[in-house]
Amino acid sequence: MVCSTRRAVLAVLLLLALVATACGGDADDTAEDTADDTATDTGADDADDPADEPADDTADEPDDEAAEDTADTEEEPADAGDADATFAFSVSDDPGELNPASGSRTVAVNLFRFLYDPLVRSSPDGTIVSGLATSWEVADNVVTFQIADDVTCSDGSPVTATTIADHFEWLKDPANGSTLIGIALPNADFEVAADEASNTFTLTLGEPYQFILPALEFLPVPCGEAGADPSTLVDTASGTGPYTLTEVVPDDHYTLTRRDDYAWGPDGATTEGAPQTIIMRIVSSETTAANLMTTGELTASAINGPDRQRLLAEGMQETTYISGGAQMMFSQADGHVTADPNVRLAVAHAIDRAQMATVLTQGLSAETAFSLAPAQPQSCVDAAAEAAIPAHDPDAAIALLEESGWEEGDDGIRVKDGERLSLDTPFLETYPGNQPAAELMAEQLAAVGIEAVLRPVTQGTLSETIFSTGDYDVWPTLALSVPFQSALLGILGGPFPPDGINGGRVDNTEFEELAAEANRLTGEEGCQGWIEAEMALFAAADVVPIAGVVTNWVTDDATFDTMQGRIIPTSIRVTG
Amino acid sequence: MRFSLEALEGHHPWLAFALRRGLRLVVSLFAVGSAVFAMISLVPGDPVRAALGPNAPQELVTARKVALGLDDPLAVQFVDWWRRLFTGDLGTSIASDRRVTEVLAERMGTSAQLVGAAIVVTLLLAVTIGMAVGVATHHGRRPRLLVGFTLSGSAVNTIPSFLTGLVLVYLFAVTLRLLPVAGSTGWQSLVLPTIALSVGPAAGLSRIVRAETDRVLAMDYMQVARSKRLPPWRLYLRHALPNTLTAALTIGGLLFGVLIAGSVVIESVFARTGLGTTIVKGITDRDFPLVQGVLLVLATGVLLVNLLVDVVIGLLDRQSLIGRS
Repeated sequence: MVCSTRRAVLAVLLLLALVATACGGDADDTAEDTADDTATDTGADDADDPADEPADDTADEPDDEAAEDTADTEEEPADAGDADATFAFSVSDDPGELNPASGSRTVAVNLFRFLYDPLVRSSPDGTIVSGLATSWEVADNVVTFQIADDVTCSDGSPVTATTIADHFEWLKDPANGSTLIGIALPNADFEVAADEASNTFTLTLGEPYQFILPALEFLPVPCGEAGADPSTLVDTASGTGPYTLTEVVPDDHYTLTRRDDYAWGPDGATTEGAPQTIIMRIVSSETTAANLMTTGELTASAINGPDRQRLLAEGMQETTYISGGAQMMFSQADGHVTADPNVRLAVAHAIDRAQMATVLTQGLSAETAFSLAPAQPQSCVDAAAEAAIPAHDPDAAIALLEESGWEEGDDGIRVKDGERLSLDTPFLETYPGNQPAAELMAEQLAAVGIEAVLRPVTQGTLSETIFSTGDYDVWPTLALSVPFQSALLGILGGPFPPDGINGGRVDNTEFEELAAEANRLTGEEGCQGWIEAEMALFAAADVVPIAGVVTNWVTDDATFDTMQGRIIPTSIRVTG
Repeated sequence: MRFSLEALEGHHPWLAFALRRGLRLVVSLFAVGSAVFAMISLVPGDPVRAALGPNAPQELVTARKVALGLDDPLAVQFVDWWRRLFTGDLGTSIASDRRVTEVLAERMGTSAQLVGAAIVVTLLLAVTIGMAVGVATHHGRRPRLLVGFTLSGSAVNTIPSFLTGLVLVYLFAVTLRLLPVAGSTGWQSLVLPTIALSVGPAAGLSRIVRAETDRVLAMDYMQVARSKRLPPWRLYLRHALPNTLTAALTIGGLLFGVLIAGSVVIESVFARTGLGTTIVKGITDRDFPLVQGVLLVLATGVLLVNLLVDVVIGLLDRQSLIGRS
């Protein structure tokens, strides 16, 4: 007995020792990580919904905190902020790989705004302001940039027109597989030139492109030794931005430190008054983020759910902004009833978009933006296109259906040749407003004799349905958030899957011609062209804008400005 | 084979045990590995499209797929996967482009901390409470305590760990501000998740320990020990405890699996960067290599711990070496 007792004790001790080793080992690792600033790389994991990490951040998801925040109108004067302060904000996903030339996740794109500078930027009111370029001139397809003097990289090396030209050449090489081609640059058909003496950089596009300046905001320019080959920037950064990356703990937090010598911010902004340290914490649960706000561990967080009220009750501030758009999309593939324009138009007439918008945004949407690119500020203000969206008119819907031969059936659902007018209606289950909006739509469609069979799906099924099988009739509220209209060209036109990404199988020649034409024009004329192109889509009910999707940014004694929901780093002020 | 094994059992029970269990481990690992591959391959969706986003040009997606070998026939992918597995290569995460082995190495520590701490706490709580109640209610004494213990034990056992976690966060982090709400830095961040994870299993296990204690206390040798007027601590800790542990350890081994499953949820609630959050994100991203890697590590962990438990029980009771495996 005694012998076996000893063994038992030994065994238990062994077990404990094993556990202790596991713990001890890890503690060392953590210590190491923190000590060596760069730590490990990007997290593999990501995201609640992959929809919010589009290839280019052109398609934010409604619930995406990515687009954090908003135009905080009551901005503090530049020197009001506590310069030694720490500003901690949360995002729901890890940014992943930190290569600025291919990092396409929304979170990464927002992080890059702190670490890198683009040539030009948009201000909160939508005007283009300086970035690395102090002035610029667009002449047809040639854009000339005067690069700021004395710009230095985070590694101390000088940044000139040549640095920028080299990066554009790198992007152009198909072997490097940059995802920025097609997003920040319309295609790889461009030439660049740098003049060292005058420090000017010239970009010559294959053909004029209306959105070239707003698009270039999404092209962070890396620099220095590592910047020469951005693919090496996996868990580090090498840029000219107002902050440097000082610690990376993937899936946990990213720490940024202010550069005091920074003087080439938007419109000449410096980092004076901005907080010394910025911590971006990855917190996937909104409730957890709200708890961290309560305990003061976070200064700002995008909270859209029920936890919002509790934080506001504690005296925190809130700003709401439109971060993207939710659109109704139809499958026009052969064999789908929605290939018939009359059915699509009937659906568009049957629904009450204003009601759907209220339900979708859970009453938060004060202003609903019926546009293809409603994120604020808009590069091209296209509100005029709304006139072409079919109005709420159930009688018109019924007339259209009867014209197409859909007769009233026994159970109220219309039939034609023995076929019921039933629409397969999937919706993304992860965004809370989608289901009530889909239910409301089903109710309104039933009133005109159309049955909508609702089907909640995951993000994976969503992209499979749209990009490969085409197995759906209508998406009630699909998040298609793009920074400007032309980013939707490939989705609402062009080759069908599997050759392209025109998931709705939209074949609207008028739209394609008008859009292509509008893209070649500049300024007001180009924007007018886009309004006409959008109207062509709306008139055929190829897409029906439902709402501007809002995000609420809750802050605790801090302010900042935003551009399409993205924090403008130099505008952050911690006041508490 | 059978004959020689039996011969071995006679002379070298440990060697026979090791051989048999080793073989079984290899077969189990193959089965787990194949099941993991099959499950992940059958899940619909395009991981590359998910990683690159809906607006990525189709050419880029296709090129990426070819590079990752995702356009090969399933059989080829299967063979490839095992071939790479044997060379210690778990592939590259589709979503983040990082080596899966690297990600696993980074995350394993956090999860090991949590599950390790939870096992220790579970065993300590279960054994302490179970024995105390066992001793107190032995011989039909204090029937009300027994009923109360049984009822509350099963009630607590059924509370899902994430709910316990949320309540704990509300009490100790949000209201009292004693401990951090979330995160994985410092020992303080480990306290709430560990308690949330272990309370349920500890309640269940303590009932088994109590029943075992009751059984052991009724045995003859305990009567003898009692008659020697040994001090109570010596009586219970030295004489009764080891014999109650056999069952507790067996269940404890099974509990490991339960705790690992629970840790997936708890890690999300407490925003800890462990294997749990990794697998959840991997699944939403359809990041096959990553999910396969995590599942393989977890399954191997469960298999190894069960082996370890059998070894420990073998140490406690040699008979089990022959009979059990």
